[in-house]
Amino acid sequence: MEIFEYTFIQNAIISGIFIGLLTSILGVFLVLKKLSLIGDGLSHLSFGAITIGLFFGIYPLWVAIPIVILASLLIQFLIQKSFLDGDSSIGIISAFGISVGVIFSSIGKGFNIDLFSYLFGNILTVTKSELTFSIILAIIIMIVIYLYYYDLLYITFDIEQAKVSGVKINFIQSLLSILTALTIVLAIRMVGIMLVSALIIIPANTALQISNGFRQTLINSGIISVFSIFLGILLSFKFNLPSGATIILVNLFLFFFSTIINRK
Amino acid sequence: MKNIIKIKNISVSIQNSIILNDISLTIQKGDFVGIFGPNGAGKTTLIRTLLGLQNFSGEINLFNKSIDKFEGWSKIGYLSQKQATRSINFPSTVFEIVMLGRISLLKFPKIPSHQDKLAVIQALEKLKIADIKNLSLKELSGGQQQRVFLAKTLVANPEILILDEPTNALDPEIRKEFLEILQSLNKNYNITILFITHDIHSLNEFANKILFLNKKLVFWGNLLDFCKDDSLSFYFNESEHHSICKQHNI
Repeated sequence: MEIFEYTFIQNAIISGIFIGLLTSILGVFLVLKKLSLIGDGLSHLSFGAITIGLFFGIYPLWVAIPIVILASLLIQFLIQKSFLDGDSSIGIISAFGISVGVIFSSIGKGFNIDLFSYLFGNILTVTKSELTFSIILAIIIMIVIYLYYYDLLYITFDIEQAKVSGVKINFIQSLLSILTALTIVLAIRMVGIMLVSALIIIPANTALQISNGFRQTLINSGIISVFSIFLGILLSFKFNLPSGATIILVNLFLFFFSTIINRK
Repeated sequence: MKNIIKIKNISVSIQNSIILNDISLTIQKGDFVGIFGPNGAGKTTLIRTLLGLQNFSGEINLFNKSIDKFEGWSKIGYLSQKQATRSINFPSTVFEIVMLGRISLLKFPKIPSHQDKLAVIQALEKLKIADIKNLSLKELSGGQQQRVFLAKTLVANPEILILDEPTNALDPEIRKEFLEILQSLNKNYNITILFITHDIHSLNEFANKILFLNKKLVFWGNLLDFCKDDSLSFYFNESEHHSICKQHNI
């Protein structure tokens, strides 16, 4: 139990709980809206934004947050106006992010080590200020989800019916996009650009297999995510494994386990 | 009788193709309107236009208010054509889905009160599905699912119920039962019903008004006038037209 006496482990677990709750709860809405891959697209865009930050010597997440929020709103706009479907919009944003990232990392050769920590994440290196930032943001996001829960649920269930019922579709969709963008940027520090979408997709899909009712799906998704992060941190510390990948593998194990149980 | 829907010269074009052309009609409170027409006649487009989901030219008044100023959407319940197929795997329970119908009545923050929960239970009881309130949609039969969606539209106590081919996937027996529920809502609660179907036979014994569309308004009136209208033989073969009217000894 001496593992819990380390400050970096405490920081990792606390930030993991908050980020895990956010990704898993938003994940249920996104998966059901068939926007699972938005995590991939926005995290790839974050790659571009982070390289810009590193290149100009600005804290990378400060650059990533506004760019990713704008991109998430752009994806929503493209889908809403039927210019492009969800997959194509996300694909284009994703390709743009990666291209920008590759160019800036190629020009600014000196920051590849920093970039590596964003690509693959390391929750064990989360700083005190990052911890505070993620807690505050996570609390704000959770309050917003609580206040707009039924609107979010309705646009996920049936956007046309929601509109007829007087739900302010544009506002709620934009809200969901902004919350998703913020959550993805926060989660990058934990599991990295390469794996952040897994934190959105896997716990939600695991919960969907074993839950009855939307509220229960949200709760189960949160529990599964937090448990995976907690166990992932312990395993990565114990066996000296990369934390992000370990967390995702624990998540995948639970997903396959729930699939087998569900089939029986 | 109170006019609750007034449509004047509305036309709809989508990508330069005319879907509806110069439709004018007035629907009164308590009407049970059967909306018929061949595939592509513009039935769903007409409904979507009435619900503010489709751009149009012309005038629409709902409850004596122009549609662009109308805010009382809770007075209109809508059950869409694709609802059942689109929502079948949604993880919500019956109770959660019916509660969504109360959203239009809630003010920010939209947190349901005890009264809202009670209204949901009452809607479920009205449609005799209170015992399945904790089941998820995929555990229900087609008929039960349609009752759930109907309960969702009824829970806000609408004055108008708009249903777009909701009985398509149902067995004839369940379809009849569903239509009888609608008839009782129309008779006992004076709810105005607009019901789209491509099968006129399924509805003619329930509807008191018939709206026959084929991009333009082909017929609008009661069943008696419908049977007397010889020009409709162009759209029906004669025996079909007669069989509809024979059911009512017209």
